[in-house]
Amino acid sequence: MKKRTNLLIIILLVGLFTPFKGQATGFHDMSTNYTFYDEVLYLSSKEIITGFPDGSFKADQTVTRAQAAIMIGRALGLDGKPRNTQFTDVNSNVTGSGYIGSAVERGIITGFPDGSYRPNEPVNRGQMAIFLNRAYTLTMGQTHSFRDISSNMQAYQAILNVSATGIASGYPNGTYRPDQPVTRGQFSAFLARTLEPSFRSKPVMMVKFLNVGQGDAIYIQYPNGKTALVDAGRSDDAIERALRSENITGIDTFIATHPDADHIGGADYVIKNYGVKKVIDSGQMHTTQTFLDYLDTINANGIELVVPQIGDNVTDDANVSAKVLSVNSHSEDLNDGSIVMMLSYGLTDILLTGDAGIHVENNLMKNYDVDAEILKVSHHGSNTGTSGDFIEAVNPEDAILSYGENSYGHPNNQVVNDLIAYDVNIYSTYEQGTITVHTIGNSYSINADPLPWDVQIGQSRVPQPAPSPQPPVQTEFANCTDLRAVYPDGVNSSHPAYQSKFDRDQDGWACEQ
Amino acid sequence: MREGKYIIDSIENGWVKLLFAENEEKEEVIKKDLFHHPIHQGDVLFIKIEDNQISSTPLLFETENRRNQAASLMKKLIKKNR
Repeated sequence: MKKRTNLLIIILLVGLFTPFKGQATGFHDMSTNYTFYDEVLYLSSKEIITGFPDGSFKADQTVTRAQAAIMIGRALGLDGKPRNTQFTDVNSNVTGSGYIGSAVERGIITGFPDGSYRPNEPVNRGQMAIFLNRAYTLTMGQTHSFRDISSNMQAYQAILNVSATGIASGYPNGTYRPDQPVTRGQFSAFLARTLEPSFRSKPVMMVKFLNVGQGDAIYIQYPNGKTALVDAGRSDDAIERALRSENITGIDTFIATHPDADHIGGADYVIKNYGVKKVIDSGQMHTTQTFLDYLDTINANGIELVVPQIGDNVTDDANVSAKVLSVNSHSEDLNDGSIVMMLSYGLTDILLTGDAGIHVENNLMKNYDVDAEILKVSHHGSNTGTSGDFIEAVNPEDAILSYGENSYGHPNNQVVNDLIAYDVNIYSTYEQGTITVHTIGNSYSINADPLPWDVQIGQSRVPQPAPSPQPPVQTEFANCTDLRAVYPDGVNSSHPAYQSKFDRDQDGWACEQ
Repeated sequence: MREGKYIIDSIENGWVKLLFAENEEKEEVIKKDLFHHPIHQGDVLFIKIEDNQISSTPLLFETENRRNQAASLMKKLIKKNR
């Protein structure tokens, strides 16, 4: 199983970079459950931190400017021999005077305008960013700003750099809190992440398979914060409700896999109301007003429309690939012209199939390695797609079924049973609502438990195919004579042809003889 | 099912999804066998109910008009962004 392979890789990576778990830091006041235990252990093993003479580390104590200079100085291998420095308050008797002096010479730290260094003052998060930036060349990634920092702050660029490199992240409310003091444990974590990239936090990609009833709508929030919506459900109401319930207020790119109404029904609404800047479309045509309104809206709002080619990468984030594996603007069947996309972030692959059928799947298997951790099951689980061979080739750990009440019997029993036969975990927007995937690349999580297989096999959770529609019955008549020509005894009030104007005696029976 | 103009949204496994032209959020799914003429996705039809049976008339001119309208708009949008 691929997932097991992934887990093995993760275990190996963790093993390579954090070989200390299970060993002791030697500090009597630190348990292995401490958040930054691995980072402290790492620095301790390199003798960058040594703790206090009583054998404690005091992780929650604020780190002082002298202690920060010592840790950075040791990490850089600077001369720590005690000495008098240029600062009025740091002579050779002050702990860390050697490292402070060396760090000043290297331009890593500076003192205050009054000539002091203030070695016992705490270091805040802004200063920490400055120190680490001066000490190390940080490779810039995608920058992400915070609402409590501005370009006129001394620490501004340094904060952007530590954030972009995954050394420090902000808070969920979008702040960095530059003035907040840093504890010894936190400073250890920041320094360890600077020295050893495997400790750095990786930005998260979020993918939401929205509950839009019978249809598709998949929201992607890339690690850099850009957003995309793949399909927009059957109607304005359905997509609006789904987006609102997930607190989604903006979408950068809209991707229409194909022009069937259950995929673009709410597209014009999304484009008009969610700030869409670019539309990626299969290039296929339809004659519905839904499709014409969608095109009109793109046109009226001056939005860029792109018809991708097979092999194009339609991502909005350089760290993520969104490769188009299939699209056909001239397909005889609109489903088979769907944009099929492999969304890849690190080791996590998510295969988005639109409504592509088995013919397309066969081509995909011929031309690509379709192996993916998560499969968005094609066409709401219809047996027009998702063959056993395809499931075997994709070898997904998890499969998402996006459907609602329908007349087609989606998802098809055979498809469900095939997924089960291949040990695939099944999730359903119909049963579970919106399904959310979080991934940092080398691992991912899903916000729901897989549906119990035994229940699914019993089909009590899977809607049965709707009964065949009865031949349509005439329900509208000009008068009772016409009605009685079809229904000689008249109709009762539960009959669709019943009208109160034909029920003069108001006895619940219209046009009786 | 009401009489009126419909557009074939999709055909799947012998079932036809029709969108009611006056309000496309209303849809009907009926058996393909009930049509006595060839049908395709995108066809505009007028559906009558006679003797409890569906009677469908393809509106060829309107279908063609809509196809042309969509193609022209798509072409314009693609050209604009080249």
